[in-house]
Amino acid sequence: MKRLAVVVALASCGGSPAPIEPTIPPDKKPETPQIVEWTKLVGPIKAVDVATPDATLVAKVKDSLAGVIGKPIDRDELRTALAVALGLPGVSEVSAHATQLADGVQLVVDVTPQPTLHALAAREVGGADLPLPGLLTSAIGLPVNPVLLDQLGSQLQELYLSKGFTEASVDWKQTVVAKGAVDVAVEVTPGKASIVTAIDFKGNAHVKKADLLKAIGDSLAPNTPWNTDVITRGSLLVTNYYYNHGYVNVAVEEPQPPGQPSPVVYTISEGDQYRVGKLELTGASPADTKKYIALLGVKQGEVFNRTAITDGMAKLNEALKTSAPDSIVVPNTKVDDKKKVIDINFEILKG
Amino acid sequence: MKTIALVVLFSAVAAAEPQPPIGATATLDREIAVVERTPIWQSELDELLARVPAQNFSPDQKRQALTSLIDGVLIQHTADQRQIGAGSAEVDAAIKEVEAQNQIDDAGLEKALAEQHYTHAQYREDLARQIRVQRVRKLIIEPKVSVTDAEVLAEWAKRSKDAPTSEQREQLRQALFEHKLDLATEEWLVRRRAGAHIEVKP
Repeated sequence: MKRLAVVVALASCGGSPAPIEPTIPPDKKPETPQIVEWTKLVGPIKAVDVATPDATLVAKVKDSLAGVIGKPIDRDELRTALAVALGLPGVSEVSAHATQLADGVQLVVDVTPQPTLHALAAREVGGADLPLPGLLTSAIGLPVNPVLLDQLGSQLQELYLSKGFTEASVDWKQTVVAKGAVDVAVEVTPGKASIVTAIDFKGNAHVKKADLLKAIGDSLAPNTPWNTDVITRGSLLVTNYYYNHGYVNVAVEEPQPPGQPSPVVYTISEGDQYRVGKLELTGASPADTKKYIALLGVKQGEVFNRTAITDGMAKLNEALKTSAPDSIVVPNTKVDDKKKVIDINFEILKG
Repeated sequence: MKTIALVVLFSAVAAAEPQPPIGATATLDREIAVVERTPIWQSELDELLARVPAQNFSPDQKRQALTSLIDGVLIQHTADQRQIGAGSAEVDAAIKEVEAQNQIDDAGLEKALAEQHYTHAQYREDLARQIRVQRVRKLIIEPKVSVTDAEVLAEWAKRSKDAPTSEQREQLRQALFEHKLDLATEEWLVRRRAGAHIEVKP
């Protein structure tokens, strides 16, 4: 209104009239969508959109998320579906956000495709390149396949473990060499090799070395690469030997790989030898009690033998299958450290 | 009567969350780490932290929480490799045990779970995971741990001049064993982490 008044005043003074400026509406900046907590979104998921530069992935990702459509957002279910999408060949990363619609929610899944494998190499850290299985060269030029790389890693690790490199670890790293392309290096950190030169024992005051070697068996032999599983098994077999000869407090220290050719030495703390004390059986008739104790084959005064006791219990459980099908035998023990005896009460529990 | 009706109406209005404006957006989830190809999601970390009574976690505490999720995946993978599982019946038994220990029934458990941001399915999965963790410890780590009589007696000597009873000796042996087992588990996890392909996303 004021502007009009000025123009009129100028005209009346004989001046040329000023051009009428067009009314330009003020710039309307696009509104930034309000960001809310996901728990505030209301309604079922109406649609799933997939945002990715690789159009070939859209349909597959949508398929993997089809199950969430029509339901309210359930992050537990959603992450299961997203994990399926992430596992699709060619998918590197996924994330999800949602937008409030008038009648529900639109789910948007952002998918980053795997880069293309430009070159692949395997090497020891700080060492020479390792030969790759020929098949792997066909992976060059394709999207990075983590499954394949993990398989290669496992193969290499197995190879090193079998040579006594007990701490060998393998990892792979990618280096971006161009937009959407990476070089992958599978790197082995071998550690030091341990080789078993002999098997020996320390602390076996009451048991001969030959008996312990017999208990261990052939799986652990001199001049072989150190295999941690075999060494652990040896330790369990030695422990078991002692348990079966009354040494119920035995402790066998498992040797650690020395990182060089060296004997395997099991250090044993034998403890005291125990015998079977009072023997009882409860939960059966007097007639059955005698019969069952005989079946157990364990006698008072004999050296405590864990295997003999478990074998006897297995026999008794077998016998109970016909006479009392839902019953089970449970051993309750009481250790007398002064007399070095273990009282055993075999309790028949009815199911 | 009118007062009651009004209160009911008022609480209904107060409980209704206003719908956010059309176009409002929310971040739902993203992978924050990948452990031997198994993703760990932001939502898993959020849920883990939501179950802790404290709030305003420091970046260090969040990193620790993420490490515990990573360790969980590594243990799970080890269990899978060694075919160490936890069956449905075992989870049922564990639930009954939890109910008995806490003196609650099924409804009481559901209520307690809801208070701790757990669904029933999530809790079952969590119990199954705990059973698998125990088994991995029992089958893989425990055989490497032993406590000698000498260690028990040396530890006892620090506490008392009298000789221990059988019961005291056994209790101390068990305590030492648990301590050694925890240390051995941590060592095992360090080695396991070092040998695994783990990507933590920024």
